Amino acid sequence: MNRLKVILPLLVVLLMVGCIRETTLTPYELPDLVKSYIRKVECFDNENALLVASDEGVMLLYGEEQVLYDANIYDELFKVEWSEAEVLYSQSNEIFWIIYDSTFIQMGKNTYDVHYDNTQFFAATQSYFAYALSNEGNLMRLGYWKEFWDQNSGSFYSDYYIGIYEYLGNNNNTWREYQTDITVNSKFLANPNFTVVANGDIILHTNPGYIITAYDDQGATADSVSRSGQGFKFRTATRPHLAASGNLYGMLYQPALLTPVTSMLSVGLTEDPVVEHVFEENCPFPMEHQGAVKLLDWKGDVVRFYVRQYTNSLSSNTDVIGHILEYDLLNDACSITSLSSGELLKWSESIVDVDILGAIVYIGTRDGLLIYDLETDEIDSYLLNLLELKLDQ
Amino acid sequence: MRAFLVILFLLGLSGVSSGQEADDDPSLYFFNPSELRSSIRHEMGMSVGTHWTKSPMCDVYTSVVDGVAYPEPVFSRAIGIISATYEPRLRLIEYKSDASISLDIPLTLSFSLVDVLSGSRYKYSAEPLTEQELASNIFSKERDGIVGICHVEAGALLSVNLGQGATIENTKTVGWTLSAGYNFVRGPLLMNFFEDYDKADYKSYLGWGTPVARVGIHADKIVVYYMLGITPTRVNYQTGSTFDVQTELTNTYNRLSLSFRIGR
Repeated sequence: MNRLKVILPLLVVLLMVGCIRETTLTPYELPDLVKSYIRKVECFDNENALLVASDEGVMLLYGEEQVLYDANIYDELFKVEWSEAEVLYSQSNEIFWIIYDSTFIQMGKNTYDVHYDNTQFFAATQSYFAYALSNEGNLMRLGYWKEFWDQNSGSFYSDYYIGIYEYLGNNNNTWREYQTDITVNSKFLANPNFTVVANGDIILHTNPGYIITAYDDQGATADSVSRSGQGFKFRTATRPHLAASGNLYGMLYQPALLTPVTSMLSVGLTEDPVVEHVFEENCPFPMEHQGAVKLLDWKGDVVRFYVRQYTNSLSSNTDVIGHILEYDLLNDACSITSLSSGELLKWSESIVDVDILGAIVYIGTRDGLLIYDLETDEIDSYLLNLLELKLDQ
Repeated sequence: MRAFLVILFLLGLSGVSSGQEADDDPSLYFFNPSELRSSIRHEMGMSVGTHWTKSPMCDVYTSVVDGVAYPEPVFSRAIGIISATYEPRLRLIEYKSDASISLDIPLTLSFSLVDVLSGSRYKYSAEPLTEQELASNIFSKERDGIVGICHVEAGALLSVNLGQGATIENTKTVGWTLSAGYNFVRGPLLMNFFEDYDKADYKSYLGWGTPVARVGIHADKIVVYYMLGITPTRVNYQTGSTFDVQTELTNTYNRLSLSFRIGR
């Protein structure tokens, strides 16, 4: 008993003293720029990263860490036509790439670099080249380095030779070029869309398709895969994605507001033919919609699109501001989740761009950035949510 | 809490399985519902100006100065002016007449001032903002008065009692109690009707719970208790006015009270 009398008070004192926790609230720059006209929203769901471009600048989010680039200081951002710009991101070096015409902007936590590609003709780069990031986060480009026309063939068509380009970005040379003997027939000339997979192979989603396993100054080692099928009439597929199932996916063209995509293409990496999955056949589309205008993300064989709601505020259903289409390409199963309107956003017409990160849909509007929680179906202002404020509904 | 588990374990090793006085160890006596009166002790307590508590950080108030947002902790605070407690104490295990382990249920009604504050004592208003205020870059509203008055508490404490008060048979003049458990706070009971504050606006600030420890010294029928929150959180933050790092201790509980045994 006497021991207890000694030990118990000691234990209690230890409990009282040893249990103080500590937390720190850190000041942060208020991202005022998200209050202005939002031009671009790009989420990288698997990497938990986000880029938001507005008329005032660019906000990068790495989880909860934000990095702001004020366009008044980084004035190159004023010149970007965001609706045509391509945004890439690599988690390996945490760098965002903005590719617009012949301008390349690298943005990161401590990186801001602008490079003008004077080695190529000034034109929208997406019309001629395809871009992707290597596993190390370096920018790669595929293009055509040589045209060969056989005048004895009696044909007007040429063979175009694939060139692999690695970004250097110095003043003398933007790209390091690797010339290959891989050819795409000119009849089917289009962007040599490609993706770099985990083992470093470059997968070209062209016709024929190629799996490039190695390349150097002497050329490339590649396997050619025949591609055919009704769905592959354009002979290249944009935004190629290789799922763990071994299926290679893509689209006939890049979706946009006026050119929504209506199907997805799929093919086994080394198989043929290409199968077209038509949305209308499996998706319960609502009455008023403008189609799948943006590919949001991939989860294995499941792809998600933003389906824009057609609105005429006088006659339309104003309870809905848009939809998320989810398509399981392995099972041809499709579902559509409608986004409900709220006091902050009543109609879809002010929506400029949309993307999704986890269960949060980031909605860029003419009046600023909004967030939509798919779990609660509530819309909130990004800025106010950041400040933990509530709006009187 | 770990200390109590150790003691319970040690007592459990004595081989007593259930029931009243154990056959092989007559020094241990376990609670028997049929003899409730001999196993329960009632106390009435009070404190005057020695009772205050703060909730865990329940929100963040952000002041914006020159484009920089400075988050501060927001918490509820109750300052008891006069607090009264009724506390039944149920002895679960008795060791001879010297010691016991009891379950104590202190129930407190306090005439108190209950407020919701930020670290810099900004009177944080939970009232929603209007669109007009947002358009004018008004990101927060400050209250004029306190949120309300009066609060209640309910605790559940496991106590080790030694000496006086430990058992009904104990005749020593002095004893003491060590307790640990959880205490729930609910308040204010009355919203500030002068300012017309709406309870619904503050619903997420009106109740909280915190782990507590308590020490009590018994002298005859009188007990002096000091109860303390044992998991406070030190929140470091900066304000836009001073830029210095400030510290706020949240999730705290302090109460010094005087209790009287009722009956035996």
